[in-house]
Amino acid sequence: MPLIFLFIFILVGIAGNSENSSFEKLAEDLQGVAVIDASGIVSPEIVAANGQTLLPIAEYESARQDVEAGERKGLIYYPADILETREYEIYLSGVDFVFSTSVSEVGGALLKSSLYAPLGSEERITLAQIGAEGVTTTYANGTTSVGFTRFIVPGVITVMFIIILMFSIGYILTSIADEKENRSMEMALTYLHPKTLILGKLISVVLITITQLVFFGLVAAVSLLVAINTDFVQLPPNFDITALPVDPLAVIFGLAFLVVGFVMFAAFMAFIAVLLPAKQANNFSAIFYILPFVPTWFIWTVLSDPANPVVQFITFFPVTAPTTSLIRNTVGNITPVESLISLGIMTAVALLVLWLTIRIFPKGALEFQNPLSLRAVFSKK
Amino acid sequence: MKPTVSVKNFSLTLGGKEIVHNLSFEVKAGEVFAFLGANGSGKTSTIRSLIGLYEATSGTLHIDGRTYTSKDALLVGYLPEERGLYTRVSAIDNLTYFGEMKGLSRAEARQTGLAFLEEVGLADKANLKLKKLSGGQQQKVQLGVAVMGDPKLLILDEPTKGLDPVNRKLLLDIVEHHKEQGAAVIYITHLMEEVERLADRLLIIKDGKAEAYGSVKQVKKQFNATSIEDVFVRIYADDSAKKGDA
Repeated sequence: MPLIFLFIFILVGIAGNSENSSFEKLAEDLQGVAVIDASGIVSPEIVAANGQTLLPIAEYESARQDVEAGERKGLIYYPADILETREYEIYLSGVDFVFSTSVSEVGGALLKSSLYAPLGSEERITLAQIGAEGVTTTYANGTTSVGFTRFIVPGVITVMFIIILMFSIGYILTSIADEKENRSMEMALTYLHPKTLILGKLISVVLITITQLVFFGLVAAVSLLVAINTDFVQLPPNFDITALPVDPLAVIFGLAFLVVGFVMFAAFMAFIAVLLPAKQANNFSAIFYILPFVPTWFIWTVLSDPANPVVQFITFFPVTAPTTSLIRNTVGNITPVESLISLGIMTAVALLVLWLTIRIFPKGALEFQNPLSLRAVFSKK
Repeated sequence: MKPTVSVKNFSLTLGGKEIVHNLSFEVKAGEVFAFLGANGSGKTSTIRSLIGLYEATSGTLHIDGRTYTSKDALLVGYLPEERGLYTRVSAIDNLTYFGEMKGLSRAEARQTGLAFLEEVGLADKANLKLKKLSGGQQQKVQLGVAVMGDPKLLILDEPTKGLDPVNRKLLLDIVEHHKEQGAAVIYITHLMEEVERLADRLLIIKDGKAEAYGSVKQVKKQFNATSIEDVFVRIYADDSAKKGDA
C-alpha cells in the first residue's frame, strides 16, 4: 500500500512539471491572438497590457483568413452591435480545448476590464465587481432584535435531530432483529424482563447517538475553524461567534422536540423489530426514514404560512411532527401552545408504542418466520 | 419435600389454537425428568410458559413454589433447542455476559466461565469468536451458560444435538453431576437411549395432552413395553397408521 501511494505521488509530481511547461506554451500562444474592436468599447491600453495585438477594423477579413490558413493562432472580434447582440466572435486555428477555453476567457476579460476602466479608482472597480455586504438591523417590539443569527442555535438542534434520524435510530431495530434471528433473544428473555431489555437498548442507542453527535460536532467545528482561518469561508462583518444570541424558549422546545422525537422513533423501530421477522422489519422501517422528511416537500409553506392546514396537520401528525416542529421552532413561527400540543402528542404516541412493544416483546421475539398477528398483539394473553 | 417444578392443569392457547390442554406434572430436586413428544406436540411451548415467556391461558406453573420472574434468574438454567449466543463475541465473553445477566458479578461470571471451558476442553478457545468454533463446541458453550451459577432447575432442550459420541458422553456426565448436586433437570430429547440412561421419570405428550407420566419403570409396565422407544411408538402409532392409510 505505501508503495502504491509513492507511485501515485511520483506521477502527480511528473504531471505537475509537465503542467508548468504547458502554461508557458499557452501564454505564448495567447500572445499570437489578435483583437479587432468595432464596438469602440475595448480599451487599446488594456489589450496591449494583456499581450494581444490590436488590429484596425479594415484588417478583419484578412486576419480571419490568416487564422483559417493556420498563419495566426486566433482572432477576437467585437462587432459594432455588441450592445444589442451581447455576442463577440472568436476564431481559432486548430482544435485545442485548453487554448480554446483560454481565448474565450481572454475575450471576456478584455471586455469586462474595458467596461470597468471608466470607473476610475481600483476601489470602485472592486465594488462593481464583487458588490458589497448588507448589514441588517432588525427591530421587534420597539427594540433592536438580533435578526437571523437567532436561528443558528435552534437550527443546530434541528440538524442534530436529522443526524440522529439518519444514523442512530436504526440501531435499535438492527439489534432486536439480529437477536431474534440468532435466537439469543430467547436466552436473554429467560433472565431479563422485556422492559429491562428495551430500556437497556434505548440507553445504549442514546449513548451511541451522543458519541456520534460529539464526533460530528468536532469534525464540523474543526472544519469551520480551518475554513475561516484560510478564508475559504468568510463570516459576515460584525459577526461574533462567541456572542451568538440564544432564545431560551426556542432552545428548550428544540431540545424537547429532539429528545421526545428520538424516543418516539426509537419506540417505532423497536415495535417493528418485534412485530416482524428481520427482513420484513428492515424493509418496513424505510417508512420511518422517509416520512419525517415530508415537511421538506412543503418547506416554503412551512416557513411562510404556518397557519396553512397542511402545515398544521404535519405539525401534529406524530411521524412528521418532530421535523416540522423543529423547522418551525428554528424560524420562530411556532407558538408555545402549538409546541406543547405537538410535544404532548409525540409523548403520548411514544409511551403507547413503548407499552405495546413491551407487551408483545416475548411473543414477537420468539416468532422468527412470520409477523405477529393483530390478534396476538391485542390479545390479553 | 416440595417439588422444584409444579405444573397444574396448565392450558395454553396461541393464535386461537389450543397448544397445550390441561397438563399437570411435577419435577423433584435431584431427578432427571424426561419430557418427550413429537415435533409440535407442545413441549417447547410448555417450557416457555414455565419460564415466563408465554402467559398460561389457565392453570399454574411454579418453580420453587412460585411463578417464575426474571428476578429468579439464578434459579433456572435454560438451554434452548436453537443455539442463541452472540457469534461475533468470544466464548468467554458470551459466558460472562449471560452470567452477569443471571445476577452474578462480572468477576464471578468470568471465573465460572473459564472453569467450565477448562472442564469441557475449550480453555484454549476461550478468546475465539463463537463463529470460529464448531457446532458441537458452540453447543458446549451454550451448556456453560445454562449451568452458570449452579441453578436449581436445568431445562435442556436437545442438549446433545450436533455432538459426537465423546462429547455427548461428556455432556451427559455434566448433567448427571448437576443432578447429584441436587438440581432438578427437565430433559427434552428425541434420543431414547439418553432417556433410558438418564431419566428417573418422564412425561410423553401428544397434541398438547399427557399420554404417559411416571417413573421409567412404571411407564414401561403401563404400556407393557420393554423400552421407552416402544412406548413412544405405541403412543404415536395411530398417527403413523393414519398416515400409512392416507
